[in-house]
Amino acid sequence: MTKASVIVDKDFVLSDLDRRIFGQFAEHMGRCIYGGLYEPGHPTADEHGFRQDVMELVKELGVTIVRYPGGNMLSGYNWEDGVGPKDQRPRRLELSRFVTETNQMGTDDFIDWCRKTGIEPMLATNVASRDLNGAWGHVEYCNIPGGTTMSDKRRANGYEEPHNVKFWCIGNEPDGFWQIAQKSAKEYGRIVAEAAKIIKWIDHDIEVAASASSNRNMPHYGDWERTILEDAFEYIDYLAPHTYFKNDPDTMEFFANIELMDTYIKETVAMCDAVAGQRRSSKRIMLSFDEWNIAARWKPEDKKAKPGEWPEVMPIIEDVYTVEDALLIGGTMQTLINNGDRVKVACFAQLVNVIAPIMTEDGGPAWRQTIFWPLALASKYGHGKIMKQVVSSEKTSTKAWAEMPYLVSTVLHDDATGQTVIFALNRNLEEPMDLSVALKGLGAERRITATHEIANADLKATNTKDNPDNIRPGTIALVRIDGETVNASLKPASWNVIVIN
Amino acid sequence: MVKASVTVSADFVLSDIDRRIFGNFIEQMGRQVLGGIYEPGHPTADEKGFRHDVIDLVKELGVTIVRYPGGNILSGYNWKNGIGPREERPRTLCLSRFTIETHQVGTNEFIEWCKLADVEPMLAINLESEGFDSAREYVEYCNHKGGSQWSDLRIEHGYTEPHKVKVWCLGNEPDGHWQIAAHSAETYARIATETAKAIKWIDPNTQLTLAPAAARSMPYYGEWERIVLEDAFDYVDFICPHMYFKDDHKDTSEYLAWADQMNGYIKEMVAMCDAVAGKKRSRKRIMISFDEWNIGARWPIEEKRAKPGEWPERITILEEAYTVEDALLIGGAMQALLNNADRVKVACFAQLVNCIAPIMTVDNGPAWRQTIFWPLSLASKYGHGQVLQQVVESPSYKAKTWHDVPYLLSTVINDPETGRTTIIAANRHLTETMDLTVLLKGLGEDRRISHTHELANDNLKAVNSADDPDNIVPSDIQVISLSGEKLTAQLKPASWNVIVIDR
Repeated sequence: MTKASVIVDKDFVLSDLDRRIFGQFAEHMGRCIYGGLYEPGHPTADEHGFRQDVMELVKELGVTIVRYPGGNMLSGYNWEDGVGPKDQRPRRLELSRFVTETNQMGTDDFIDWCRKTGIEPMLATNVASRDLNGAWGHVEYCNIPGGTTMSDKRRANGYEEPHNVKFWCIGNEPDGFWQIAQKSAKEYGRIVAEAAKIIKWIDHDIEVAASASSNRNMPHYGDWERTILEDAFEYIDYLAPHTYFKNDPDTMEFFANIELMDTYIKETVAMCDAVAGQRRSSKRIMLSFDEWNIAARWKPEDKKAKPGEWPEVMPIIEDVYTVEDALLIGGTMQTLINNGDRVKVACFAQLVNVIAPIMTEDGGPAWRQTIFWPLALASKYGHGKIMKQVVSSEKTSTKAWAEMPYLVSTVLHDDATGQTVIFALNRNLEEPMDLSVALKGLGAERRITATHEIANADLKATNTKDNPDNIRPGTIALVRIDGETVNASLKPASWNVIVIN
Repeated sequence: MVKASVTVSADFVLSDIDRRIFGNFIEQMGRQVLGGIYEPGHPTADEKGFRHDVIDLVKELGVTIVRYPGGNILSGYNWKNGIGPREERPRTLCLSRFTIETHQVGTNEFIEWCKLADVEPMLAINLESEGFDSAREYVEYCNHKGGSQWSDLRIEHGYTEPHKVKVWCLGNEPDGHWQIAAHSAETYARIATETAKAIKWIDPNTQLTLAPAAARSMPYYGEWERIVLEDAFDYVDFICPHMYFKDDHKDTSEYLAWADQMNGYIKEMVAMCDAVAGKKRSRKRIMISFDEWNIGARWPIEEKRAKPGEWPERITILEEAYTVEDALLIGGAMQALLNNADRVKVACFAQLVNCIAPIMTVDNGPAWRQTIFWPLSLASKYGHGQVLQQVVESPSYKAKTWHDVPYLLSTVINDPETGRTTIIAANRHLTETMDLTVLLKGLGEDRRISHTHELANDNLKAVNSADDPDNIVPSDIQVISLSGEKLTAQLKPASWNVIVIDR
């Protein structure tokens, strides 16, 4: 038995939770769009060609905002190719995956899908292969009501009302050597500052995100952030880091990625605030963590079509996730929430088929991977205020992180409903965790209304098309509330939700 | 009536207090040393020439650590001139004040004075006109036990035991154009890094402070910090900002907002340190030694130095008279340091005696307390234990000095060992009484208010002087009560207050 305790107090609040932290990412890549969101002729497809079975699962996943259309393909993407009559849309070479982009789904179609699904759109605009007129036209097309050639083009395409997209990403991983038209920090700093100015002059209500280093391991990490912030600080609202965790045969090392994620967030915040300090500015840049997941099982050559073949659709990186993966995704989701004073938006990468919680078969069913569950439960119960915590937990040591606590905990309280939610990951692989949570001032006469537990004796167990419900959340067997104290016994290697009303 | 409230909880601790936050600074300038701590022939002077009336006031001030010998004089100071037989010490030109330095008080005398005053010494090393070799010899002289050239010289000078000086400053304001042999960020980064490595090889128990830009207003603020940290990060423990408050707007509300700018400055400096840690993927955290802070001297520049060509041994400079308003700001700034106690581990008020100082002396006469003596001394007296996280509700005002200034500036300290809780609260509303409520969750029901102290005066410009040294002294808070875990008090307009709760 390992022991851990948490204290929260109704007066000690970290931040309101921004629900956009439960965002997702849909890229024109593999079968994410074609065969994922969009499959005309599928038994559940609607008049737009959108699969209703996928849409239902997206709703169940609790997605709040979706980033589109990329990703690496963004850097060669012309948004104009994806609007207007579908039969007139061009076929383009897509240089990030060596495929042919048919443009059967584009900006207007994505907006249709978002409106039907009840999701806020986040559009990324290409500033890599093309000049700023591309971004200008994209925003004007989407957000100006009418009376200009560009906005009237939208109306002519059947969208009388503006799309009013309020969140825009300027480029994607521009520092990556793998990118179409990679940029130096100085180049990107100039581009992002000017693009942000132009975008906000077109629509003053827009918030924009600039790209951080592609990941924490980039050699220019820190320098890149500083250089672009020194140029663009006044014009941008968010800095957007990405993280893809690598699998490690040692589960505890794998779980230490949660600490690294927390550190990465805090480091990026410090980099933003250091530039604010240099400018003596009280403005605070927030984070939009707009790609995060586990992904490392594929060789680079398997992530692209064979040179010269240029297929239209190619199934790639359709990773199958395990219970262990679900635990890490749950813990990482908590880390995003626990930094909710600075992380206001986050997009899990990606939504369907491509390293995704939702899988489909062409012409067949859609199902939930193991990682669907922590994402869905976090969004379902993620309302209200993030509470400050005083945490005490037994610790272990990993190569990646000395003194790593077994417990990862998060406490949310919603004043509107009186609901308190505890998320708790027990990273001890051998022992159950005796967890005590003191909910001071949150109300004595309450009861536990729901519990959820993700755990399995086989950490490598998965869900598949043939056995889609192999891994589903159970309930916590040993949990009770006495006055303001919750006591629970959490299974070894388990991710848990305790709901109090 | 302005209303404000604070909630704290025994569970939510910001940080233990490092008592070195109540440090001070002695520079070889003006009447600070000569006529301040050292005046042979004074009725209270001991055989070494140290004034004991001053030492008594230093103890009352609650000073924990003292930085020495500079300050600006440091960058032309050769430590070897201040050791050995006094009569053989050289007379040297001090280029920062255009005076003659007689070196009658040097390193060993300072260490002796520290023992008498019961304070920890902090030594600063000249990395401007001198460099690496002199620095490593200095640390060897002070801290090595013996059996080497420089440690044996210390023993020969009568000090068998090493001085064991822990905190060492790597230069002083090396970027300032006013400095003797100023550095660029790149040259300072190199010498500070190499010197730091050598010092830690001589004595791994030392803690080293790295100089940021001399002020938040320097044009390269932020860049300087990054450049020096990227080089020296692995070898230093502290970054040591300086701040001198100015009454630019001749407006009390603006003036008091300097405490908030200082708080912002600390957080900016922490972000700059942590940004470099991030770049290095390091879990190490550089702490802050805020080793000069005070109100900027209101003296014209030319009166901060002797007249060129005269080269006196001693001049009377920077003997600032502090007002009640000044004391309110100093109290608030002390709170800004305490409220960042998770990162501010050392701080030195600048300076201790006569030069912009809380303690003043008359040659061959008495020593007395300025207005600013009181917030410094009370903060140290009650500053034991932990600083608690606070949830503060207070109306605020906007100022040019800082964008958002709550009328209430509060600090809550709890000492689990003694069960004592101390609330420090400034009411920065100039015309209205503050109705303050403090909720002390989990800190104990059956306690009582054991002491209160209030600094306030109808005349914000009132001062203490040699003739009227007790014109401004703290009094008690009149309207205050504790019921269970809830404290209520009425704080006078423009007042700085201390409330002490005991078992």
